[in-house]
Amino acid sequence: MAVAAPALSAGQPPALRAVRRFAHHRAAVAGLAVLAVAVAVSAAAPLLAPYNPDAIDVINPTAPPSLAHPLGTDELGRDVLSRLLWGGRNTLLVTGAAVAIAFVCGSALGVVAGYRGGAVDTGIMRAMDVLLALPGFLLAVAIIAALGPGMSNVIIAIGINSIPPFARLARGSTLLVRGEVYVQAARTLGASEGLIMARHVFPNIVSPLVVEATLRLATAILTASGLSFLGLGVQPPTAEWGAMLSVGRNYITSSPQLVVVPGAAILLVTLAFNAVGDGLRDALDPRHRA
Amino acid sequence: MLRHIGGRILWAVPVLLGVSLIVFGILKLIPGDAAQVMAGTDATAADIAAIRQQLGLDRPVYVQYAWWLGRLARLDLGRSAVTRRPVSYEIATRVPPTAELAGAAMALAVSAGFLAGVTAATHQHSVWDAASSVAAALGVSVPIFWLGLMLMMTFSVDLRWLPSTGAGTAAQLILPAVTLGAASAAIIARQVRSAMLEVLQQDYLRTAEAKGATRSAVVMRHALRNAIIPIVTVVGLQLGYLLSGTVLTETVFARPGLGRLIVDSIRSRDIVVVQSAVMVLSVTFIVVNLAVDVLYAYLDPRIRFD
Repeated sequence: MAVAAPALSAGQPPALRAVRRFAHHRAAVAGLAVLAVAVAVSAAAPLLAPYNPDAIDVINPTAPPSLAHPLGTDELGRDVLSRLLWGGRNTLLVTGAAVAIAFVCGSALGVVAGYRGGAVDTGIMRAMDVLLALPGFLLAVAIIAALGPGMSNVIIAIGINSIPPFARLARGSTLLVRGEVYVQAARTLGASEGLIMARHVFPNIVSPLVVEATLRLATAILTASGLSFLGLGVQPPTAEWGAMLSVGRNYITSSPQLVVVPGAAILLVTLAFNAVGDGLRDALDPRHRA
Repeated sequence: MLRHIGGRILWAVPVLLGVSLIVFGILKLIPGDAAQVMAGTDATAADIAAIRQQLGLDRPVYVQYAWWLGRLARLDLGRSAVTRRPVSYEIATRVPPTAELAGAAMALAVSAGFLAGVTAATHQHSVWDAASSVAAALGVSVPIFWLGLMLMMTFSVDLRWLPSTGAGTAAQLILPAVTLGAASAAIIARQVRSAMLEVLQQDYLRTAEAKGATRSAVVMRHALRNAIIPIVTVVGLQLGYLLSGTVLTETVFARPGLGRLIVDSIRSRDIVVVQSAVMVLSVTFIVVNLAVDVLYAYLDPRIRFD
């Protein structure tokens, strides 16, 4: 339990205090650096990748790392480094889009449930309970079974799958701020319910939701790459880390780098998401500090 | 206490119905139905229509759902569209390897998690504490299928100590159980550590120590017993994760379990099998959560009079 130092920090704006607390969390800062590099490198994949990620070179399949191919080539002679960079693009895109969907839908459902209460609340939250009653990864697998594999369906599956925690969190926080004076004031001034929820409730409950979103990114990337690994996610020849692993496992004895490299990339980014999430939680909600 | 338990059991009924509705609904969305798969590629439209009528697939959706629920309750799940064997047979033969795997992974996760968590809490800020928090961070972040492949590469391919695939023997269970249990061990270790740290600060522990109880008696008898409630909740939640994780673990290690049955059946569009297997895993998860809730009420006397 850290005791706040009110004498020094009372004059600082809360945002600045949060940034300072975050900066003291070494793992979180390292995680943020890793994510910055991963996002920058993936975004710049078209510029950085030495080869076309889908260019087949049948004469040089499963080549070990060399000067020409720093991470070797895969079973079709494609450059692993180039596929790793492009794969990062797809993996991070799927992960980010899925969590964005869950964040928006989950927060909206939770705020409405908490603010309106009554039958609306019961209906929404019971539906969330049912979604949570299905083991998470299994729900994603079932949704993919229905929609079919592919990148956009993975985004939808993981998006739906991740809605309940956001809804629960948003509802709980909304219940706490619903009775606050500023909400009452807005109501007295005649603001519509939608406006109150969007302008007065949501901004005041957003920080725990942001923390949840960061930690959810870690779960989402594991789910997304897991679906691709099963052949239910992003389909070949599209480069994606889980899909690269899925094919690479057939060459595990002869070319272990085809398995080691994409998996290590997933591990590193997941570690970073978790570290940043922990750091944000400590920075935004000091009571929660372990 | 009884009222609390009764309430939890009653609450499970609508949840189960909701889950069955989702599973049924989702799999109804699959293009092409069981009749098409059963009839094969060179069937005429009339053949398919006949099978469809035989299976009741020409009825309204809600009638099909009611029928399906009725059959589910009687455990009469129909026949696989691919193997033509009863679905109950397909599932029954796949349950033992999955139960074995989930059980072993859970046992491993609980024992490793407790050991690491208690050590970290009783030796706070020591090397053990640091090592267990690094291990826990890695454990929750590692892709389960990759961990499995790495273990396989090391212990089966390089060292040749353990078999890489199959099910049935204890040696074939070790690598999959470690793979599946690692993340849960990490989460349990974290929970045990923080619950123990909280309890270790309590006055009654100082009292026990002052009365001459040995350190280990204080930790085991007084601290752990009081820390157990939050730990039980986390352990219960891990089962859902373990059940989902069998899908990936069984694929990596080629174990003929329920998880692999689901993936294979999705590929062959054997919808009845997917529906039934997903239902079996979900019902298991709900029942276990119910049991954890009841256990929770039993362990925490404060809940009994709610």
